[in-house]
Amino acid sequence: MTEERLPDGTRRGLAEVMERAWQRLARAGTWWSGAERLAIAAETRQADRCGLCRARKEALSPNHAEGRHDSLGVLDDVVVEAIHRIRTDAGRLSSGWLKGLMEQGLEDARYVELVGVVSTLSALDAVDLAMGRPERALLEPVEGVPTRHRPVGAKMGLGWLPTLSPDDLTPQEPELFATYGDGNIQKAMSLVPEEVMGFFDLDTELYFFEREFPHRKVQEAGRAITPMQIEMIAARAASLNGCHY
Amino acid sequence: MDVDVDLIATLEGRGAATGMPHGTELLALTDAVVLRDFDTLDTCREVVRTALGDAGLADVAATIGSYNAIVKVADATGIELDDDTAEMTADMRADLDLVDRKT
Repeated sequence: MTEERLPDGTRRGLAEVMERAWQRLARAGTWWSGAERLAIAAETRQADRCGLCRARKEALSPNHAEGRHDSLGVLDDVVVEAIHRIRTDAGRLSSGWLKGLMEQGLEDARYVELVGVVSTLSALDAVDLAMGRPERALLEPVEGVPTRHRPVGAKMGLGWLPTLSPDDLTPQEPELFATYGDGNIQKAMSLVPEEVMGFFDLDTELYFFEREFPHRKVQEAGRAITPMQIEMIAARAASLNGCHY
Repeated sequence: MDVDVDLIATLEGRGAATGMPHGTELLALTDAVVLRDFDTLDTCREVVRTALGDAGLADVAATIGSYNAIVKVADATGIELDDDTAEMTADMRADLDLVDRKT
């Protein structure tokens, strides 16, 4: 079944979730205000122009290059370090690096939401770049107060941060695993459930739902390139990003 | 259509060696976007558009967007492969000299 397309070839469903993602960047999240989330997004773009990040990327070890980030000067240094490294050199992050950020005062849940913002912006910008669209200006912040909801069931055991499993969910959290699957990648940001919901709202249109979801076959049939071509592009993009997952 | 794909050629960006239809064009655009190679980007994009049409280009762009992002989620949180995925891909990861990251 062929999905409805816009004049530039974009699936209508994808265009809709991308618009939602842009709007979400400007609204208060769980731990950051709309203005703060936009500042994180702006700093994400700034990382591409950072001399320290460029030097680190070229160094055998990121620890071999020292100095200060070329930042926009809005966010704390520890937040800038997190944003720039995730944007430019995520494949060489370590638990020790994250521990250092937390010792400097970056709270784990704030870090998780930051990961979601950096990743969302990275996806949106990459699509526009590939399509030949100009870089979209960030929206104006929407007034609102972060909910500061921390799931009581979150615990260590997967990766470097507390996470949820399906059995840990309470009525205070959205049905993230029933909606998007309960693989480790869906659990990764589950300390901030709303960020999982937002990120995968976008990602399941950019890519696919998990294989066990019945609409996966519908998605595959609606694509203009084959699932094998999609997997090849995915593998190469992951490799270029130095991802070992 | 069944296609045997050379995974190592894919990861190394040798599009012609992948065995995939339009492999060269797809990997060239992927490289240009992820590496932000503005010298080649416009050409790579138009080559894909010519080969696969507007809809094809849009779906290529979406896939690049996804994998320019989800890798950051995985790497920034230190999550490990799911057990069944790790088991299923053990031989392949050994061939590619990939290691499971635990720390």
